[in-house]
Amino acid sequence: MKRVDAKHKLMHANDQVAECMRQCFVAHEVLAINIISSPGSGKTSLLERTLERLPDDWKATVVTGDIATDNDAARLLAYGHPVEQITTDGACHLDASMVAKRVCPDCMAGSGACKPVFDLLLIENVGNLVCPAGFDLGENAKVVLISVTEGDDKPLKYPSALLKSELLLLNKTDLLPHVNFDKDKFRQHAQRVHPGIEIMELSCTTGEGIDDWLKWLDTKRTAIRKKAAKIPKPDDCAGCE
Amino acid sequence: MSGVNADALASCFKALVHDTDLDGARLKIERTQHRHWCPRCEREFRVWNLDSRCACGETQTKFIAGDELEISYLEVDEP
Repeated sequence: MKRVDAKHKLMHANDQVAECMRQCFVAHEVLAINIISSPGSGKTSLLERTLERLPDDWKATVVTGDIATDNDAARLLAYGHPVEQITTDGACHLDASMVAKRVCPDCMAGSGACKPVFDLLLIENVGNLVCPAGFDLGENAKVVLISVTEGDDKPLKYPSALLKSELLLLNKTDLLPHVNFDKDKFRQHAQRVHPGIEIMELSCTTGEGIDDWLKWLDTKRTAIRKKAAKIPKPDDCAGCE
Repeated sequence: MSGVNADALASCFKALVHDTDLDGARLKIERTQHRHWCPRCEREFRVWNLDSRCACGETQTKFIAGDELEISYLEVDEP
């Protein structure tokens, strides 16, 4: 019997494409946000409120993933920004190749360097708090969205989603008077799983908290631009695959 | 923390190798520990039941291990 060392990461293929996109995004000052949540937490509503109030100096593109239908894309197109619907036909998450084919088609086709025409990429992942946490899409940050109707112990039930996210959004706060939800316990549970995770409360129905969310995006964009200023823009790239 | 269910992985492996040249191959799964780093006492520690507080009381600890998903090595018959 002979031992052959492998040390092969099973996510290598995905991570390679994701890293290629990440480098493209950083070099071109694109802020890419990967929004994950359970089905029905309010991802599409969050994007609607975001696109509605986005300052004019942002050029946004949205990628939205669903197992079936293009209902979300149809809703989001009304706000005047490009929207790409990825219908996965059964896959419960988006992977880097799926996203790259839509936002970096030149890279994926090997026909030259990516020149994104957007500076904000909002990725609405498939409604699922398990698998999307494990797939790098080249994003600058994962944001996890939980609503008050899901129970205050939700962070404990989906630790990987919490650990991989930089920001936790608590949605549907307008429903707090009608549900049995302890905000303090929710925050404690979140900090127990991911110490230091930033938490924001909002309501996509009333608009409460949306301005703080937009300020957070703006802070992230400023940081991206500072970082990009130190990196030479690529004239060419070898392609994402 | 990798999002993989070990039992499901083992069942799928069995189904995949069945009736192929790899039929009979064994999959050994090594579960890695969920570990955090404490900046106050500057040491690693194992996290139990998602409780990421260090024994010293520090709550702002950092995730360092537990989401690995890799093929470590193969044991093959020598020709």
